[in-house]
Amino acid sequence: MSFENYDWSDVVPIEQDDGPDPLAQIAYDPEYSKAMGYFRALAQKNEHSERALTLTEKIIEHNPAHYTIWHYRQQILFSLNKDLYEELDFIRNQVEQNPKNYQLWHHRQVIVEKLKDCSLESSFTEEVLNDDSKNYHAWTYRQWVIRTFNLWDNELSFVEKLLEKDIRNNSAWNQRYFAIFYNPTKPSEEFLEQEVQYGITKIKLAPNNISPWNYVKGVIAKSKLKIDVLEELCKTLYQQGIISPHALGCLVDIYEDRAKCGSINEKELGIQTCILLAEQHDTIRQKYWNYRKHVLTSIA
Amino acid sequence: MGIIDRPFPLEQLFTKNDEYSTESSTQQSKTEKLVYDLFKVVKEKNSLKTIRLNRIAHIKFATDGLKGLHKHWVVLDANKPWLCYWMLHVLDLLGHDITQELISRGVSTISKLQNATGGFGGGPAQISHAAVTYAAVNTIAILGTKEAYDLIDRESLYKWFMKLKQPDGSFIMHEGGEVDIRGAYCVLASAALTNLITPELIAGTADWIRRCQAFDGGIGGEPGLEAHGGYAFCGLAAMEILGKTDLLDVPSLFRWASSLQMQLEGGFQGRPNKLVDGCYSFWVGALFPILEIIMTRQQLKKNDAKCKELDEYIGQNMI
Repeated sequence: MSFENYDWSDVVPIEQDDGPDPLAQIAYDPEYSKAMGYFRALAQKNEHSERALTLTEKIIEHNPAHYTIWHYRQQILFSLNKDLYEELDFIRNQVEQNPKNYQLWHHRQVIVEKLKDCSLESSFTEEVLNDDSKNYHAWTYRQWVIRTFNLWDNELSFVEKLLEKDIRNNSAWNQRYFAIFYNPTKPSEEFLEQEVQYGITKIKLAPNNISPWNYVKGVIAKSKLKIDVLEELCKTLYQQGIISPHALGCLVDIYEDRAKCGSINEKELGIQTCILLAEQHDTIRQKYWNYRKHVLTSIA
Repeated sequence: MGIIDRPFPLEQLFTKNDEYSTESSTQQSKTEKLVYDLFKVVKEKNSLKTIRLNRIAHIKFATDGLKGLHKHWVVLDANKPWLCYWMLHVLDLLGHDITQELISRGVSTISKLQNATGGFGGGPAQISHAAVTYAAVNTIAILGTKEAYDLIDRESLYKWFMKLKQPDGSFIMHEGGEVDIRGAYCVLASAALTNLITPELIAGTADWIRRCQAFDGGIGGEPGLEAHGGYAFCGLAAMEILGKTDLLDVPSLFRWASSLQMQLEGGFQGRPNKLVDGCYSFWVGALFPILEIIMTRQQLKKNDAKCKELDEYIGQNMI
């Protein structure tokens, strides 16, 4: 039922008070102005009713980012003890049209928190991620669901699926790290070493893909391994004529570490690699590699 | 040295897909082709130096917008302060005179958005929101008159900030709203500008932000989330306001930020393997001046320490 069909005869709409000659005044659609006029009147007496609920739906239709209205809608839903599973359906429809709206995703979280039922959430976020595998809101919400309801067990296999589809999906790589390191069950050293090997395998598929490089370095940092476990990979790629600035950059890190321990030879190698990157293989980052060269040069 | 005037062909700057295409690399190639077609014309005509920022058009755009907006802008009806800030900021940056009349209208408009319980909402009768408040405070800063400054109720603003504060040091965006690092930045920036920073306000926040730094050196919206240009700016700027940048792994953040610059397009992406976008020229670009301050400060401290060592050495040996 449209909000217009309710009886509003007892309500005096309150006009919007922007003050005289306001900046950036929007030439509202008459339907929106009318709805907002009723909203201000209802909000004043804190009315929680069916007509108020329908009103919020209309306003949201015009402006899905109207956070005050979403907040009001939540209060009404809970006051009237509405079917929150229906609301989840409503949200699902809205998300299709507005997948990157903060208020929608937070609204779902508020509803699910109240329901204490996460059974639909895994497939809901999976559906959204099928459409856009990097939707930040979807990933944020998915992490909240996993943390809150302890749904850690299946996450690695979900990540696997996405990485198989697109090995360059940085969001999936981040989720892999999340599934392992934010898990209340801490990973074993053996598992971490397997993860490094996993990362190396994926690097080899497309050495210019930065995501697995970042991932592997992140895992190494949390393990007993050192970055030089990647030395062989980097040098092999170079010898095969495969130029990857990530491989060369990794060598700079390895050489820098050794230079700090006193190796003059590696200090020089590091400097040369920086020059190679700055002048030939990663020229957009010339100034960054020159800075790294400067740091290396300054090592006593 | 930019991209168009490099002494080698633009074609050399295409991203390598290692003969292994995925959706990400396909999208990237499409974007590169679009940009390449535009750049090529400029390179061939050698017309780089004729490209000018069209100040007059931008001033007109902002001035017209401040006068009034089409009904389609209803989607920003919960963001009036942002609209004011964006457009006034354009005029301010372009050195265009912000008239007394504009200032009066600005003060009047913003005053209608302040809530008695503290903070500013996106429109009259809207509850207060952290990002909207940040935009309102910035607008007031641009308007720059005593009348503008005086309209802020600092006492209620502070009380409202404290209501947004969470036990773990983070801030929600509005009553019953979502947590993320924007909250921390918007509250801290607004508090800094209105001289409302207290130990009570900032307790635990630096630690929470530190936890938002991801394994690749970037900063995400919350601990565990993917590093992202927009959130990275919020995080680093907030830490600088707090004076706690030493809690971050700065070299790693610096490297991550540098890695986001696109080799052909020249602009920045917001996350690895995603597309270039003009907004990240700000979010990621703005990281560098802050990083420079941090790194200079660290260097000066080192020099200071070396000087102290030297002084002590000399002191000991002169006796």
